[in-house]
Amino acid sequence: MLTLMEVLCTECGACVPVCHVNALRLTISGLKIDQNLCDDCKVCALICPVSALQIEEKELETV
Amino acid sequence: MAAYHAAAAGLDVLLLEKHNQIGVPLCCGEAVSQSGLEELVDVKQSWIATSIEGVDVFGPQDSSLTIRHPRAGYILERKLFDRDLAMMAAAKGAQIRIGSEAVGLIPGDNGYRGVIVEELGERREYLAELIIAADGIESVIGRLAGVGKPIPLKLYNTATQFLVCGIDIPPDWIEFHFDPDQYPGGYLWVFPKSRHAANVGVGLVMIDRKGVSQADLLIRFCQKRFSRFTIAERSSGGIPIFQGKHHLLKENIMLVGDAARVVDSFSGAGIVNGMLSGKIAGETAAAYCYDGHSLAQLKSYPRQFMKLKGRELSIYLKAHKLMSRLKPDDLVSAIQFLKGYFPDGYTTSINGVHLALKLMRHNPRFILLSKGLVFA
Repeated sequence: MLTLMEVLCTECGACVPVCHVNALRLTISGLKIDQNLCDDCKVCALICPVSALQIEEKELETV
Repeated sequence: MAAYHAAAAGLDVLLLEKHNQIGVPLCCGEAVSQSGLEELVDVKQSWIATSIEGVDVFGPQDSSLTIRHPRAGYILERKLFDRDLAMMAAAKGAQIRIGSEAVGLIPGDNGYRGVIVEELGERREYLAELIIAADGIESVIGRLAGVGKPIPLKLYNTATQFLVCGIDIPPDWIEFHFDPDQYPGGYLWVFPKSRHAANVGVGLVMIDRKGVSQADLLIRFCQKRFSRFTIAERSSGGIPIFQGKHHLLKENIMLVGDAARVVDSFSGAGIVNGMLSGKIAGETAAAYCYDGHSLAQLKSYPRQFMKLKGRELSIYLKAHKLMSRLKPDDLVSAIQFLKGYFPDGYTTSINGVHLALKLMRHNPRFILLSKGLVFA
């Protein structure tokens, strides 16, 4: 799951134009991630100049 | 600029600013060509942090070049500059709403008939015959209207900049540092804000980086470059690349500045092109509203802009693509070429297009690397 480290984010918006599913939106109150749209492609995390976006691996459930 | 020119022509203009202050947060190196800026606006002294008279270029293997260039440019105080431009528009009659964030478009028969905003915790609608989107690289309006395509990651520079203080540097001299191993596809810059402060930033293609963060690159650089320093501000941003005329217009929406991707893709410079695009868009809006209301008239905006800047921006894009392919030895060769291009280390003007074309053709390897890049 894509997570934002708000303390690092400078709200520059560099990640927004590379999101191919429009899951990122830079609002007046900061960067918002639409987890329903995000497909964890990691591109935004890769290009973030301050490494504020990270992908947390989901834990597999034991059935 | 768009609001100023549209209001100056007598249109009813509403300028919506997402933030509570105009010009904040800042995502810019603040360097601008002196002649380029002076062609577009009467420059106020309060906008200018420093006037630039020359440049040092540093490359791999201790290669370097110094060029004296009187009246080359300014390092601006963008926060004051942006606010003053908005006040100039207001003086011509434009209304400003701060803290007003565009979140939607209202479809209409003739394109779009307005925008939906979130303002002071309320959702409101503003109706307009025309919409000019100056909402930056993340352009909400552009995305809602379905304009353009994603920036290719291999060419997408993102940048980090520090306002570095407590240093002692020449206030009229900028520095560029190129090293494909450290700054792939980009460079590091030092733009003096005074004798004792500078914007020190680095822009590079992040998917080609090797481990070290941009902030660490800057700190390492500052530790080598300055005997002492402290960091007063940190900012970052994405540097768009020029993506052609299709990014400038969609029905009755004109995009300007970074939203329209009208930047010099090689250097990342966007202030003058952004202002020029705003000026033409504002004037086009006036022509549209006073004479005909035909969407076909709006095509004049991309047509005029491309006539003035299309070839130049296309060549800079190709230079940026070439840059992303260069190895350290290539950079050394390029600096050697520049020494011959400026034999006295002095110039009074630089034709960037001529220089870029000459540079790309001077070395057979550059021609090879340029394979697939068509030069006009």
